[in-house]
Amino acid sequence: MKYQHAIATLFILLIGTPSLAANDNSRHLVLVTDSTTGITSLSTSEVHKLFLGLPIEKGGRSLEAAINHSDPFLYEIFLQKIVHMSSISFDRHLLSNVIQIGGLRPQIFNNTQSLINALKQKPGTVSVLWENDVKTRSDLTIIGEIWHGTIE
Amino acid sequence: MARHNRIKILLHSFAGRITIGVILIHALLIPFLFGVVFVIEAGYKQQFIEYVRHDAAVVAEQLSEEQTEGGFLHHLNDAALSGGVLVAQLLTDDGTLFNSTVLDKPIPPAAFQEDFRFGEHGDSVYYISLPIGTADGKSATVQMGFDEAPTQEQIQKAYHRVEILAVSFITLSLLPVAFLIPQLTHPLRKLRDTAQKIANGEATEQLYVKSSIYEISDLADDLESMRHELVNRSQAIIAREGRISAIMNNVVDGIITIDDNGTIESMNPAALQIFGYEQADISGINFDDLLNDSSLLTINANNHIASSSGKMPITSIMTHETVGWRKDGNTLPIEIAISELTRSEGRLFIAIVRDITERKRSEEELKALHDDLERRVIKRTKELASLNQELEHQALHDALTELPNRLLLQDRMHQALLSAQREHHQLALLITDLDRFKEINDTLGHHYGDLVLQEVSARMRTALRGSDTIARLGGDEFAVLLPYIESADDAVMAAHKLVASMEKPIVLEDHSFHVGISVGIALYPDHGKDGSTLMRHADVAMYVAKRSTSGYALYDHLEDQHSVSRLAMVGELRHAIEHKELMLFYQPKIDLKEGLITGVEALVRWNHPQRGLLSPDEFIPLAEHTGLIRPLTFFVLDETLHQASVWKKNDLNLKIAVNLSAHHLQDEQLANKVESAMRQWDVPPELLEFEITESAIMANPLRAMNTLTQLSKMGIGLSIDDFGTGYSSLIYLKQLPVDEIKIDKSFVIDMLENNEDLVIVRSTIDLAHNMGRQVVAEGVESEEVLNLLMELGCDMAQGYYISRPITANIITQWLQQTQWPLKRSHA
Repeated sequence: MKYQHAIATLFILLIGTPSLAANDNSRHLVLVTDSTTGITSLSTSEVHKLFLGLPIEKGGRSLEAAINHSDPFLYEIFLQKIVHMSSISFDRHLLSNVIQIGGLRPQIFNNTQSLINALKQKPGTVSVLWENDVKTRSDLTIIGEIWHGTIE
Repeated sequence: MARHNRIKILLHSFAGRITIGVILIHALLIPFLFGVVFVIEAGYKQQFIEYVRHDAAVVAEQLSEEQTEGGFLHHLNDAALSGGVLVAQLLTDDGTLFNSTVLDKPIPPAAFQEDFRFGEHGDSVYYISLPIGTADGKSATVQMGFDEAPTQEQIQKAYHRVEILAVSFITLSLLPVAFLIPQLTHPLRKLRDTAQKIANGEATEQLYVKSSIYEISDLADDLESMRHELVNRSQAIIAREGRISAIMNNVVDGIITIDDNGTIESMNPAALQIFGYEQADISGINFDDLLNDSSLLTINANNHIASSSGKMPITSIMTHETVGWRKDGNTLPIEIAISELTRSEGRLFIAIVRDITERKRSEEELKALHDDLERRVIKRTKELASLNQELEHQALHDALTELPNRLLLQDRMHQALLSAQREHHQLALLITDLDRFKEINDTLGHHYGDLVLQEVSARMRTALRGSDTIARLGGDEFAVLLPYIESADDAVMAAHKLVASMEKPIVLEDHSFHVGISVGIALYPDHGKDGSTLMRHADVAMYVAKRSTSGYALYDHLEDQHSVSRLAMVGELRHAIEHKELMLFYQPKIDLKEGLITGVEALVRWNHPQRGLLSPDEFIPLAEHTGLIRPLTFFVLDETLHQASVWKKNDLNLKIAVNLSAHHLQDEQLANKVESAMRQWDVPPELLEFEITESAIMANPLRAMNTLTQLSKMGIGLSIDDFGTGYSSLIYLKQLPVDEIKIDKSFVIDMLENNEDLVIVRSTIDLAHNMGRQVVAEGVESEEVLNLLMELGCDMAQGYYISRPITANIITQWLQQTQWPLKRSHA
């Protein structure tokens, strides 16, 4: 009897742990820019064009995209939700845009902190970050949510 | 276990290794193939995701432009019909779900798990949702599910193909390996078999491996070379072992090999015989068992032989004698030499043993012989020493007189000269010569001559001091060395004593001899400072003494010149004979009864370039003394016969008389030589006559008799010359085959005044006639003498009254003028 209680308790813990873990692994992928940029939101189309390297102006300010490459999963969400293509097509597309339209290719950051520093140093730059990385920061502004879900 | 072994063998075999190598090579290729497939897979997945995201975005774009529910469904159905879409639905904010009627498989929103990677949730469906803003300003979410199965099938198909390709590739690769391996292993196996055969000693078969692989064919060639070399070496080793075995079996010495513990390993037949063992007996025998005293000869750890004489290093050079112990219990003396050989299994000692029983016995016998020989040698040495002394004495002394000989005289003179030089005193050398000794020797023979010499030497010893050296130089010549004299008077005194000692006649076997002595004296240093000078000068003085009345003479350098001229004359005479510079004169003889010329006597003269015409008395004695008398006589004979031949051709048959000396009568070949000369000049023997003195005949009467008999038988006339002046024996004279006797001129010349000479002449004529010989008187120098001779009945005469000796050219004129005509009865 005593053992049956222990097994039942362990089962409950095992069942309950994933839900707790799911809560813990809940992520929000958000669009972020410097607080001084003055932008509060971007439409889906604007976001799409911005990260495809097309020129976007908002509130009289020319926006630039900064690509967050620090987390593969984040990057896959970014590809699927924003640019709607695979990474190879996206790279080829960016290169094609640069060649056809001119301008600079969106800067790619493999480190979150470097990306944040870049956002602060250059207002008007928009990038994609986990909400956890920016929600406590007042110098950055979340201008939209791209995706939210749990990470297994 | 057996299987495990087979695998192990396979893994360690050439074929196994090649197989494993091929598999490993392809094992490296297979991951590469699968890597390619992995890339293809990634491509497929990327392509799928590209398609999904693009298609979803297009659908979302289309739906965002619709405002009606029918429009939503229309686009959703289009999306569902595009293929590969399993779910296509639109979820509005208010929770309305528009689902594709074609598929009719709505998914509750809570169950919708969006994928971001291919096959992420393992449900073979790629779920994707895209937010859209609808035309009426509301927001909604497009949810689509795309079938991953076709892509997965393509990926699986790619993997499957690669697997087939890999297996096929390996299989196809192993096939040539399977074909090549026998090509490799077969010749290798054959090489291995051959190597095993060689290892087993079956190397006689020639190796032949056919292979197109250079390495294998080279290996085969090398192996064949090795096999051939092995065969040759084996044969050489066998031959060498055979020789060694033959040597070991036939060598006289015993050879024993011993291991490090002293145990015998082998013994050759000689060793077995020495120690009396059989080959089967030697197993386990220790080397010490063969020795009488095991402590006598022990091989110790320091490679030394411990022996009674101490420790000696082992060496084959050193030999050691000890006593061996035979199997039958007997002992024998042996000689051992031990050498060491280092080999891999330890040291090997080789003992060379020799049975020295016979040698020991021989040594003892040899020692006995040696002792005996030593005794004999000592005895013989003493004898030799004695003999040597005797020989030395003989070498230095004259055998006849026991006096020192010339050699000893020279030695003593040398010592005496050194002493005289050192002490500044004089010495004297006396040379003596006996007078008339030659006549005694010639007439009575050498026996009496020897006795005379012995008596003379004894008298000389008596006359002189003991410190004086009396030496016999040869013949009748003696030398006396007076090593110390005060003055020349001492030497003269000694010479006087010698002369005085010979005054008494020597009586030998009823014969009484009066022998005079001539002594020549030379003094040091006045007459010479060395031995040879003193000898020569004393000799000169001796010749002077011969002409003196005292019988001795001191050296005078003026006389020496005469001696020198005498020596020079010998050479000149020899030259004159050889170059026919002598002249022949002929003195006629007449028959007193018929008054006719019967012949001539050939007389030789020497026309000396400086001294003028010399008579025979001046050079004939010199010729006799030096041996030149022989060539001189043959010169005269040859010239005479030549002249006779000339006269004969001119019808002048003159008998020519030639004088012969005693030397010629001793020549057994004289008759042959004369006959040859007569034949050469074609002169008959009736025209030749020889004149011989009595002394010449009596020197060796027997041999003279033979020679004269031969000449007489040849028809040559013989005459006794100078009869009455020398010793003669009427008995011998009677037996001699002579035709006439020539009375010496000394009797004839004075016969008119001297009655004794007349008696001698008359007696001689009577005696000769009684013996049937004719008589010739020499020295007829007057008509009175000639008449007296005719009265005495003398047969022939010769002398200056008739004719002086004249040359051949003049004699023909003389014959025409003389009162005595030529007797023509000859020839």
